[in-house]
Amino acid sequence: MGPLDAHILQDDALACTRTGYTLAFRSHWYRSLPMSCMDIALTIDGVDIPRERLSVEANGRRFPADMLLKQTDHCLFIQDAARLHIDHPPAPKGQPVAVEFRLDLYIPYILIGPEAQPLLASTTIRKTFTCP
Amino acid sequence: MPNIQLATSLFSFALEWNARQYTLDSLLAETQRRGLGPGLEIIGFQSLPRFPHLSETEVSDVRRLMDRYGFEPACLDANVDVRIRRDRMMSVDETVDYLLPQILLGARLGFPVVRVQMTAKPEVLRRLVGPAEKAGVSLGMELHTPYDMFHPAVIALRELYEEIDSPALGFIPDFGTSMRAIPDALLHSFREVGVTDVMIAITRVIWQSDAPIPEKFGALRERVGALGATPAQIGRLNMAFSMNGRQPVDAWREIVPRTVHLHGKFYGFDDAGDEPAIDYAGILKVFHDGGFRGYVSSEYEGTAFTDAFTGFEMVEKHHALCRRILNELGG
Repeated sequence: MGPLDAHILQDDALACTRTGYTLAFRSHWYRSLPMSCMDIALTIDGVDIPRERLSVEANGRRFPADMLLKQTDHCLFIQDAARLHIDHPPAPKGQPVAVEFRLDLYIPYILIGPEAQPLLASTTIRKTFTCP
Repeated sequence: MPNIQLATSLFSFALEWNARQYTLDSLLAETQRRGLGPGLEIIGFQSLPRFPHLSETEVSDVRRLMDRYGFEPACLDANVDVRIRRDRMMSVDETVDYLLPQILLGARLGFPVVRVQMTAKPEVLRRLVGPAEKAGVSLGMELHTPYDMFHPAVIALRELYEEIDSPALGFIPDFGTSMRAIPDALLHSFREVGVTDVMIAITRVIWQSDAPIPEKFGALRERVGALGATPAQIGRLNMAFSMNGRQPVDAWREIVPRTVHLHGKFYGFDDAGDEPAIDYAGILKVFHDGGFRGYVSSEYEGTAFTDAFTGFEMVEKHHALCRRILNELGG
């Protein structure tokens, strides 16, 4: 989308756990948005990770990815990262992990078209990490 | 003291801020070191964690910072996020509840003006004018493209302002509403996604037409689509219409008495230090001659599409341009 995309996934965004991964992500708008204005999609090594295997941790709360829509009462501060918990067998140590992460932002004050839908600012980041 | 004073909106430093190169303290320190005051504009949701629910301690910390670096609070930007639910619009009650804490925080932080957006319906403003008066702040409705002086919603809002006639209701004209060209830097950035020179030329021609903005989006889709433009390319080209308005400068003359703050939007400069896409001399003359007293805030918009410049160097150039014009106008 633009230069602010550079901060969505840092080089150390992916961590490997015993049951899968965590992925730290930041938003690419210039201001903090309520978490309800975000949506995500993820593939690992080309495999779509079903949403029921994803949960999001932000502001000390953890909730299933499907519940993002309901998070109207807290924002992801623009300098902070949220953490995506991914329930998917982790790669062996030292092996590259190809991540494709899509972050959709529905801008709640820029309304488009006759239906007054929020503007969609979507960015997909492709990055390869290694489990240490 | 001159009637029109300079200010900096921290919006301009989106690149530096999102890269976490600065804290609020170090950002204000650098802004002051470069002499980019005296006014300061803060977007609550950009600069303040937990906005708008700050503790008394957090409020005094922010006030102390502005004080330490010698800034005059010019404007706090509220956001009117009426679609935080994707299935429906906020009701009037919900919008009032969402805005009230932002407005009161503006007052607690010492800002004379709180920016609001056109997503606030007239019924919402009617409900908020009392609390704003009581708190001693003016609500400044941002007139950002497509909300130019000919837009039906702006015409209706002016009628509401006349009816209520309160100093707590004002306007914040955004200079991006009145541009004479699509900025070259924006057009160049389209090439990154494979947009061709022919598609750019078509975009320019449609932009110059007098058709309503929704029709321009349709015409663009049709004409560049026929040349094989992808949805992503069309999406980028749409930015030319969504960011750059072409209202005549003089149309603002009538609202100068109700103007409480100015958003000095800018994209880039030529070798002489002028902003080729925006008639700064013409716009500032309208507000100067109309007797506007307040701040013009530097709002660098280039971070939406390029990281070729730092926010600081661009705001420095913008301040130099405004200072030169205001000096020529006599303060």
